[in-house]
Amino acid sequence: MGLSVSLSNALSGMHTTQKGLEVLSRNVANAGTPGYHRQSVNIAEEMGSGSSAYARLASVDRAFTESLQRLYNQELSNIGNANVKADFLSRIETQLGKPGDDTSLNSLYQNFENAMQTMVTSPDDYTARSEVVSSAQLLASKLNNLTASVQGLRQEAENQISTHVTELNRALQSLSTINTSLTDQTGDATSRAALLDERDRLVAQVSELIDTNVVYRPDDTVAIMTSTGLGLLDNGATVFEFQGVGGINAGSLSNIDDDKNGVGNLYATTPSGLRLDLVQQGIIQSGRLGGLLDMRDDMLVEMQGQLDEIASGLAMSLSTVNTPATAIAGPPDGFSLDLGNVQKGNDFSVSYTVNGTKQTVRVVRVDDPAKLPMDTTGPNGERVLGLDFSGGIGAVATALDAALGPAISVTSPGGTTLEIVDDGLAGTSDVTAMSSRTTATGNQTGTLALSLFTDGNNAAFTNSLDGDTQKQGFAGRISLNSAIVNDNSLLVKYDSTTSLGDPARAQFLLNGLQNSNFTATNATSADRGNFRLAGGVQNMIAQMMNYQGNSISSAYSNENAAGLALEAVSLRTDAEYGVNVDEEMARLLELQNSYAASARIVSVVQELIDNLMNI
Amino acid sequence: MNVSKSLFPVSRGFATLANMQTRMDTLQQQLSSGERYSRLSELGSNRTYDMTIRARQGKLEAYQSNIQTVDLRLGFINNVVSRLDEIEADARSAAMTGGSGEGGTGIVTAQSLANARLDEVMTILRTDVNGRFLFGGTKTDQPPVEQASVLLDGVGGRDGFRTVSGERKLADAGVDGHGRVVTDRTGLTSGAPATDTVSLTEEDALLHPNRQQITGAATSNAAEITVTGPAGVPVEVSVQFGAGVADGDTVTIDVTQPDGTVEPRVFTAVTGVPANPNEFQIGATGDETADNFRAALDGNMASNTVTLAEDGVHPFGLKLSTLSTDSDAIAVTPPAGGPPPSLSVRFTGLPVNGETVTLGVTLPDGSERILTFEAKTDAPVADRQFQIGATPEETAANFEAALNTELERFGKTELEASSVYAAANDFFAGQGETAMRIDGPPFETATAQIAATEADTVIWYSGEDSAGNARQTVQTTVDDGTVVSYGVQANEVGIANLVRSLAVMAIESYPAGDEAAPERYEAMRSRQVKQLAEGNNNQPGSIAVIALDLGIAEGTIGQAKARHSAHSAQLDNMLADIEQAPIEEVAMQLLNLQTRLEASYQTTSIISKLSLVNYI
Repeated sequence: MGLSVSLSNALSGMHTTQKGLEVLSRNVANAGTPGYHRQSVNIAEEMGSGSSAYARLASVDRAFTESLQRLYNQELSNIGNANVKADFLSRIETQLGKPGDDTSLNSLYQNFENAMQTMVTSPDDYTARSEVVSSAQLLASKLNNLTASVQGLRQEAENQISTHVTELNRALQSLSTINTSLTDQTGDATSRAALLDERDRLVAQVSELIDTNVVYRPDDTVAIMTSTGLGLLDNGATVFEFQGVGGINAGSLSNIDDDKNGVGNLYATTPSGLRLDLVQQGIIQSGRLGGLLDMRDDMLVEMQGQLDEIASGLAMSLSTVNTPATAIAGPPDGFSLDLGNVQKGNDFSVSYTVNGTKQTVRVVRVDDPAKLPMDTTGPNGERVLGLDFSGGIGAVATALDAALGPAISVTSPGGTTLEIVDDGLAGTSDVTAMSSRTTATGNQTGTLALSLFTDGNNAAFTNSLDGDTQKQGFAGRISLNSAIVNDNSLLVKYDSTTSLGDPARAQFLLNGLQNSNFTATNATSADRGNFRLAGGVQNMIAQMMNYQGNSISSAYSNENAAGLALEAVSLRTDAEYGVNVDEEMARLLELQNSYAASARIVSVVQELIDNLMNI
Repeated sequence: MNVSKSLFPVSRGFATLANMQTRMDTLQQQLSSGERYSRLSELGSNRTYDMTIRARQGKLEAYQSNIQTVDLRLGFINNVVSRLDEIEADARSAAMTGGSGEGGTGIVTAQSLANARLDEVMTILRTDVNGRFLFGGTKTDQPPVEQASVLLDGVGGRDGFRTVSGERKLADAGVDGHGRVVTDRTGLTSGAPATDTVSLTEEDALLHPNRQQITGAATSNAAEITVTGPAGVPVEVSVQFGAGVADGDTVTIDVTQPDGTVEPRVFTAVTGVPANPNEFQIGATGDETADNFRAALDGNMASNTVTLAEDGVHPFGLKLSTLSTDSDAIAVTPPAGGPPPSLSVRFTGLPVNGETVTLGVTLPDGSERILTFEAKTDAPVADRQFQIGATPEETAANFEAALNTELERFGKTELEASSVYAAANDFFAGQGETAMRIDGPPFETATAQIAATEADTVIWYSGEDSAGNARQTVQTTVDDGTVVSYGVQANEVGIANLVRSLAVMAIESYPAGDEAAPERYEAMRSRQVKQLAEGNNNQPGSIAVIALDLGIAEGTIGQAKARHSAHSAQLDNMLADIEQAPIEEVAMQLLNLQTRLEASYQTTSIISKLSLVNYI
């Protein structure tokens, strides 16, 4: 009543002002702390005893907008993903070089082709031949280096996945602890605000690593799921586990079958005990982990596939012997071909018409029983049959006869010869052409083709489809035939009596290099356009560089775009949650005045009471 | 990491400044290097275009380097070919204007000049560019031809041209030097084994293999005339006349000439005086008739036939080709029969002074010569003249002697010259041919040639031997689809002929004491003129045609070179458009950026000072 009411009012005012100053000072101190949300005091009027109404600190509000926060988390996932890809691809970009660089793949190939052209003009010149050998070696080493980089990056992806999994687990565990603390509604408001800040920081960290769908509950606890629905945090935290493999090479590929899987496995065990293989189930869509998995299992594998196509094209363009079949005059007409030189992966093709329909069949020698039976469509639309030659040509003839139908008959008259004839007088079918493609063996056997590029230790590259297929990882194993490195006159002398001035072999090799056409068997994934390399070796190299250049520049622009989006959101969050020092200073002035005013009131009341006492 | 944990993370405003700074660095780098793009991804949609242009440029580079190499080689080849042309012209003009020279100086210098020229030709044919020999087709790693001295004299047990041509000379000359032909004078000898019998005998078969032979005898009146034979060794026919020979009775004797023609000689009995040599008067008795018959025979059958025959079937020596006469008293049988062919000249009467017998022969090198023998009443004063004797037999004998003398002279001059040329054709084999030499010893009677091998003979040309156009052996690509052919083989017709004529002149010597030397020299000279004639220039493979082909190649190369440099300049421009950072543009951007950066720095500093903190 009376003065004491005023006093207690003023005191409550001073008290709230103090609290306000406290919050203000905390805001100003944390102006630079990342993830700090601005706090503000809520002052309410309270009825006291009698007619007193005093100010009371109702609560300390923490600035938080859920929709903005969710947007922020989403952008973090995106930029984490884009960042990883841009980072990895920029390292490949350095290796690939620019088209004009001396060490770029297309310049090295051009040097090789030019050296061959010079050798055709001067086969007797030792320097011309040694130039061919050295440019070929540079080309092979470049392919080897690129393969090493690509596989090295895949290994690094695995390492980073491992690190991130540890971080993720730690963050989720901390979040779980915080969740538990937050369920306790009692407690100091300011410490609660600090917990909430920590919660948001951890959620941001998790979002950067993996795509998240965050639910902020009214009681400030948080539940996190991946965008595909796997729960990461609710009552307990999901535990992630990464089992790495020792070393990654071109043969280590992801496979649903655990026995064939060559890469590390990523598992998640939910609190309820459900264990999932994240890669097989395709659970991770974005975030750094998503980007790393994409790199390891998709983009880098595709690039390796393209490098392998180029290497195989290079080797086969020089070493393939095209043998046309000899015609058999009928009736029945047909062709006969000696298949003694067909090695694993070599093939022969036959074109025929049955009742006016043209068909082409390519028979590849596949001795691996795991790959048979093989009857598919090749990249050029022809029918591709895989047959086992290890049982003799007779078995091949029987199998092919069955496959081609009744109008065409296939026999093996003896030895390694195969005869394919039409139905003679019946006239409904006609065999139009037949030829085989075999790999040259030996260096001086009288054939012009030469295995200049070999697989590892001078093994011939025959594009064998057995086992893992010889093409897989070939770019890492391609090397130069050591016999030719030792004696480069083998580039000219296809026979021991050939004169050194004879350009026949050099011309054949150059023609093979310039005119052989290939269609890749490895294609990129459907969402990247099912792109296949096709054409001659030079074209394939240009296509690969173009495609990768496109990928890299897309990755950069994605990163830019994500960065801009994140920046926009950050600006917004800064505006919403950040501390504006000027505003705080203005408020400080006000608080100062208010405090001074309240203090004045207290002193005046004190004076009045003194006066009263002195009566 | 994008979630920053550091104190006062850089606010986005400042981040923009950092970006501008980076951009400035990039522009500076562009300015200094002149390249707009430093990385693969920056090229954007220009990437394929860029790579295509570079691929094309690379190809052009290769072609240009090829052109350079070929230019160098063509220069060398052209030098050699024009020098060969000069040598050919020199040799030709020396052969035409030479003659024996004053006092035979032409003869003396001919051999040494030919030696020097042959040496030079062989040396320049061994020209190499950086170890690549140019005149052997694609066999470029070894010299295509041997040295002149090795060619002529042989080396290490392998025979040279001198030896091989010596063998050929012997083979062509034969044992007696007459050129593998044999002369013979034959006829049929009449005899009188009995008073009423006349016999006709052949010449000895062994001594005269080309003789007239009696192959048949018949009579129309077998009652009065008894014909016996032909039989016996030597073959003989005898005719016995009875007394009652009637007018018109005939005795027919078949005479087979050396060439195989059968001539039935019909002798008709007449009662009166015989009107022609085939008639004989019927005498009172068989003895008289026999005597008259004998007289008629002698007029027709005595050794009045000179035969000339080749001694075998082989490519050596003279080959008889034609025979004719303008005299009625001489019956000639042109060369036929055999093999080997032979001819006969039969004197049926006495020719008139000045009448001739013309014999045509083909020589081993393919040339033909005509020998005309003239009948003279007086003693012969020049070559190829024979005296008309009292009887046809005597005339025939004189003719045979003249023939032999002429063959001997011919053998030492024309025949020897042609023999050497033939040897040169064999030894210096041309395109698609193998070198041949004589199968022997003995060479004088050799009948066949055998191929020369590396082991026993110097093979003059060991480069590539392609049968078709030698230019196509060495080819270089100078543009897409443009191929330049510039192969030359030293055994092409023009060069081979030049080498042959020089070699032939180089080994033939004309010693002062040799009487036949001047004529032989003439024979050699005339052949050389023919072989080196300008008329041969339009043959494919001649030196002029080689030079023409190479000229065409050079023209093609020149055009390709011009095309390439224009195209290359164009490509450079296009590439520069894509890749070069134009200095003006970059400088403008730098300036622009500088202004903005300065403004940003300025405003940032002003703003940073504007804080309420400063004013409280």
